Amino acid sequence: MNYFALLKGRTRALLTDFSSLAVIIIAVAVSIYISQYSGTENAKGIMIEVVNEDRGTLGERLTEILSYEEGYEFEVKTYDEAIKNLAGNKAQGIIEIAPDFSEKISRSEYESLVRVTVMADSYEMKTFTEMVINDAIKVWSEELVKKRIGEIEGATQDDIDEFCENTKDAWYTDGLLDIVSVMGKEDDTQKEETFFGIRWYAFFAMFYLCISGTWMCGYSSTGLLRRVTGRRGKISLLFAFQSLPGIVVSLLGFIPVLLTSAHPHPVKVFISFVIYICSSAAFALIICCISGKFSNLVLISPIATMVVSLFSGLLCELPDWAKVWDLTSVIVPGHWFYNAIFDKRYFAGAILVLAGWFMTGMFISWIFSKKKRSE
Amino acid sequence: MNPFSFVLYDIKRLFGHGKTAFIAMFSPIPVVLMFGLFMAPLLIDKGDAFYSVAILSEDDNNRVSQLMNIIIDYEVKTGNIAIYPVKERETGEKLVDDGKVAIFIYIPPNTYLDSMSGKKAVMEFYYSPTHAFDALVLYTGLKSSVSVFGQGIGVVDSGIQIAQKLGLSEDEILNIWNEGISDLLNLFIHRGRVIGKNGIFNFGADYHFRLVIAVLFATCSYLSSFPVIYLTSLDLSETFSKRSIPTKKLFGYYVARIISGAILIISSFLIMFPIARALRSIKINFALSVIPGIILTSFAFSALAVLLGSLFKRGQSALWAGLYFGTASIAAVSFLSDKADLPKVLSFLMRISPFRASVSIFSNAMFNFVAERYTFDLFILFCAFAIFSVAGFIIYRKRSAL
Repeated sequence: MNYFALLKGRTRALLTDFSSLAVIIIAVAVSIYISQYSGTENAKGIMIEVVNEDRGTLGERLTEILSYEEGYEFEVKTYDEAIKNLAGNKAQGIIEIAPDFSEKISRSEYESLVRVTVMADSYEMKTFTEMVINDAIKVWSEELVKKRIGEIEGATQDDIDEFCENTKDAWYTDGLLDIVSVMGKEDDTQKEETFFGIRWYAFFAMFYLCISGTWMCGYSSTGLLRRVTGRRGKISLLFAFQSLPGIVVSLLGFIPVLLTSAHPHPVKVFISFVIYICSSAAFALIICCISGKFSNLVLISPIATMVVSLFSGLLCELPDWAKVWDLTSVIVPGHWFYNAIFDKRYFAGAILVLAGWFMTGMFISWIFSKKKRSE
Repeated sequence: MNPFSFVLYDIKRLFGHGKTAFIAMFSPIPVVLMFGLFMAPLLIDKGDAFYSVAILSEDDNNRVSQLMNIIIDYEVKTGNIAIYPVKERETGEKLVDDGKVAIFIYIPPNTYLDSMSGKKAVMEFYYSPTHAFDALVLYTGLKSSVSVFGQGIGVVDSGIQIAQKLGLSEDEILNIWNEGISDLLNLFIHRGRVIGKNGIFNFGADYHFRLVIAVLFATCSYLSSFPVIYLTSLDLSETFSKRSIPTKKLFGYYVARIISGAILIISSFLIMFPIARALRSIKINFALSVIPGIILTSFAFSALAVLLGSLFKRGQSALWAGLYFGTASIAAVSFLSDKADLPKVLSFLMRISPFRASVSIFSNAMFNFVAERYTFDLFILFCAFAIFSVAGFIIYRKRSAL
C-alpha cells in the first residue's frame, strides 16, 4: 500500500481547493487581528440622537456634558429627524430631554427627566443608560450648588457666574473618589492576557479541518476504505496520511498567530496545538462520517465546532456557574489546549483525549463503511 | 398541476432530500441551548442573587459606606446583589479566590476624609477571573457612579470657595459643605428615577444579550437555507438543463422552490423561537410582533438561496458562496453595524442588508419595539425578497434549457 501516493494526492487536492483554503487564510488574518487589537477598541462612533425639548436652559447644559462622553457621537435633532435616523439604522439611540427638565430640577423633582431609547445594535451599549443618568446628575448637582450659593446672604449673579466658570471643566477631570478593578488569582495563574487570537484560531482550525474534509464524507462510502483494506492496508495509516496535509496547513497558519500573540511559552503552546489539531482531525472524521455529504457537512461543521469550542472555553471564558461544563469538557480537545495556553497541566490529558477521539473516529468510520456496504 | 401541488411536490423533494433539511431545521437547537446555559444568570429575572459581593470598609467615617449602600441598596433589595460584610481584607480576597463570592469591595481608611480634603481616594474592586464577564458590567456601572460622586465633591468644593469669598464663618461653611454632600447623596438615591426607573443599574437592559440572540436567530435561519441553495443548483445543472420546460411551468417551479424554502426556514424558527422565549420570558405581545419578521426573513433568505443556487453550476460552489456571503454578513452585522465612521458605501450597504434588517427586527420586536425601525426593517426585507426573486428568476430561466 503506497501511503505516500495518498498523501501526495491529498496535498494536491487540498492546495488547489481555494474555497476551503480561504477559510484558513481568513482564520489567520482574523486571529492576528484579534491578537493585536483585542481590548484596545472602545465603542467608537456610536451615533446617538439628542432631542432637546427643554423649555429652560439646563437641557442645553446636559447636551454639552453629553458631548464630552467618549465613544459616542451626539447629534441634536428634532424628534422627527431623530426617529427617522433611528428607524433607518443611522443612529443607535435617542435621548429625549423632557420639556420640563429645567423646571423639575429647579423644583428638586427627579421623576422622568430624560427618556432613553436604545436599539440593541451594539455590544458596547451595556452601560449607556448609566452614562445618561450620570450626566443628568451632573447638571442637577451644579444646580443644587448654585441654589446653595444663591441662598448665601450677599451672593450676586457674578458669584454664580464665577462658580459656573470654575466648574466648567469639573466633569472632565478626575474625581476625588475612584474605584479600581483588580483581577483575583485563580490557581496561581494571572490571566491578564486572554490570548483570544490563539483560542479563536484553534476554533477556526477545527472548522477548517471539518469543512475541508469532504474526502472523509466519502471515506466510508466511495470504496476508498474497501480498496485499502482489500490491499491489506491499515485504516489508521490511511486516515493519518490523508489528514496530514490539512494538519500541516493548520500548523503553518498557527505560527504567525502564535508569534503575534506574544505568549510567554510559545514552544509549549505549539506542542499542545499539535496534539489539539490531531485530535481535531479525528473529530472532523466523525463529523464528516455522520454528515455523509457536503451539503450536510456545511450545516453541521459550523454548529459542531461552535458548540465544542464554546464548551471547552476557547470561544469565551466559561462562567463560574458552568463548573459542570468545565468538568465534562475534559473529553474535548479544546479543554487541554486551553489549559496549555494558561500554563496549566495538559500533556497527559491531551494525549489521552487524542487517543480517545482517534479510536472513536476509526470505529465510527468503520461502522459507516459497513453500513454502506450492506446498503 | 395546480400551484398548490407544485409547492407540495417541492416540499417533499426538499424534505426528502436526505437528512439535510432536518439537520437544517434542528441544528439551531444545540447552539441556542448552549447559549441559554451560558447566559443562564442573565436570563433569569428572579431567583438567587446575580452578584455575591464581600465588602470591607476600613473608613471610620460612614459617609462612603453610606454612598456604597445607596448605590447598591436597591439591587440588594431586588435580589440582584447579595452582600457579605467581612472583617479583614485577606478574608475578602480569599473568598473571591476560593470562588465563594464573585467580588470584594475594599474601602481603605480615610477614604472620605482624603476625598473631602482634596486628596484622591481610591477604593478597590477585587473580582474573580471566572466572573470577569459579569463582574466588569457591575464594575463599569459602579465606577461611573463613584467617579461622578468624586467629581461632584469638586463641584461642591468650588461652591465652598465662593462661600469663603463671601466671608462666611467656618461653621456656616461646614454647614453648607455638609448640606452639599447630603444633596449629592440624595441625588444618588434617586438616580434611576431620572429615566423613570428604580435602582442605578439597568439589569434588564441587556442590549448585548439582545443583539447576540438576534444574531443567532438570523444566522441559524440563514444556515437553514443551505439545502435550498444546494438543491436549486443541482436542479439547474442536472434536471432542467437536460429538458426543455416552458416559462410558465418554470415559473411555477421557481415560486414553489421559494415557498418551500421559506417553509423550511420558518420550521427552524418554530423550533428556535419557543426556546428563546422560554429562556428569556419574552412578553407575549413582543413575541407575536416577531412573527411578520420571521415570515419576511424566511422569504427573503429563501429567495437569496435560490438566487445563489442559480448562479453556480456546481452545488458545492453555490454552498461555498453561501457560506462566505453568510460569514461576511454575520461579521459585518456583529462588528460594524454600530459604527458611525464607516465609508459611505459600506454604511449604505449595511443599512440595506437583509441580514442586518433581520437581526434588527428580532432584537427590536422581541424586547423593546420601536415601531419606526420595525417598519423600516420590514420594508428592507420585502425589497430584498423582491429583488432576489426577480434577479433569481432571470438567471434561473437563463440557466434552464428553453
